[in-house]
Amino acid sequence: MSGLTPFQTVGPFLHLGLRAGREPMTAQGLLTPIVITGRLLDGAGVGIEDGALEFWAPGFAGIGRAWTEAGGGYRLVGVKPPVRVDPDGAVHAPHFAVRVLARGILTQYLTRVYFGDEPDNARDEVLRLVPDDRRATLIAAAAAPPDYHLDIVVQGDRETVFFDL
Amino acid sequence: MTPQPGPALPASIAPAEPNVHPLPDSPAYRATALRHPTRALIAIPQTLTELTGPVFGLDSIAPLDHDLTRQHSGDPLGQRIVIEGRVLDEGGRPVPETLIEVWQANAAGRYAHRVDQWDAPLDPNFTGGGRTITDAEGRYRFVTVRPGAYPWRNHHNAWRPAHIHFSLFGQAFLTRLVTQMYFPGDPLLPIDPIFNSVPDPRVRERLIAAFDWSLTEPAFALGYRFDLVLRGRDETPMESR
Repeated sequence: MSGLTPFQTVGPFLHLGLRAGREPMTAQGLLTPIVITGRLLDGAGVGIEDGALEFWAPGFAGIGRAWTEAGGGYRLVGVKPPVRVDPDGAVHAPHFAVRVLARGILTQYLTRVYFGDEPDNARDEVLRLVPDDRRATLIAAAAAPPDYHLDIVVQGDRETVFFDL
Repeated sequence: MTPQPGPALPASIAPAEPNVHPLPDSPAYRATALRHPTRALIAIPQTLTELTGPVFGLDSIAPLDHDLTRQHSGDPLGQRIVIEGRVLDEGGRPVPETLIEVWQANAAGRYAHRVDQWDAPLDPNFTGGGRTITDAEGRYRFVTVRPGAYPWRNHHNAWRPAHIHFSLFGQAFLTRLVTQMYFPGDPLLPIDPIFNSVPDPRVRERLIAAFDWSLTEPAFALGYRFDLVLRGRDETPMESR
């Protein structure tokens, strides 16, 4: 056995190192183009301007990375992951796993982004584990195609649901 | 229309060693105050989403990406060093073909970044970003210069110890690690809030590279060894989700 290496913060100069994955996310198949925008916000409602969001879904060609910018704004360009069914019949509505990294974040915060126009959200086994009054923090609002919008709030009344995995 | 069930899932990621990582709310590091969650985390099962991850082939790096001293026309100033190590999982197995990204200040302690406004000199021959991919045995190697310490605004007369940022993916979304490598004997370590955010002093030591004379290259560079350990898969595949 080997001792796990502890996390440390990415700090404010992450852009020098975390360079891969800033091109649009792609995957095999006829998938719907999407653009997700929003803000990464701290406990005072102020935009986190030096963060990175990482997006992943199985079958994609690589990680998707969005650096947050002025006002905490981020923008992810890609395609929507497909609905997935496990061998035991469990349904997974389209979603990305999302990781939040920033100065002042000593570890990583793990969340997901779902899509507001997907009927399978009601059957998704992870969304069903989230209390009703917090589920909306994981679901990007659908605007005119291809646009979706979701703020990620790391602390406070509107705090995004983060996962223990 | 519901798609047909997919194939069996990969083996789950084993529970991580407890009490290793910093507490998100670490008051000595002031920036955590408004950037840590206050609601309880929600436990969810590991699904295909978390059990897979991006694959980075050798074509995703250039031949000199691991050598931060050869990214410009001249040599950077500072003490040249080589860093070698292995990436293992918690079961002691090597993690092959995984991307490592690094970034650091120059020898004077200045980052080549618009946000760094300290007046230590920039080095036109040093940018401070590099990357590589581990080999079949999980080994990696970087060539760089030893970064300088630098002041920051966390508290009165605050200085960060010399460090190099490391980012690793491993083989699944859940195996990712972002950390910092420190140098042995640095007198700033005992008073650094970020290093000391790791609660257990013995676990903290895992972040300090070892000087290694066998890696030191005659008339070229001092050698340091830094092994990294990621979460790993359970030994036996799961029956189902």
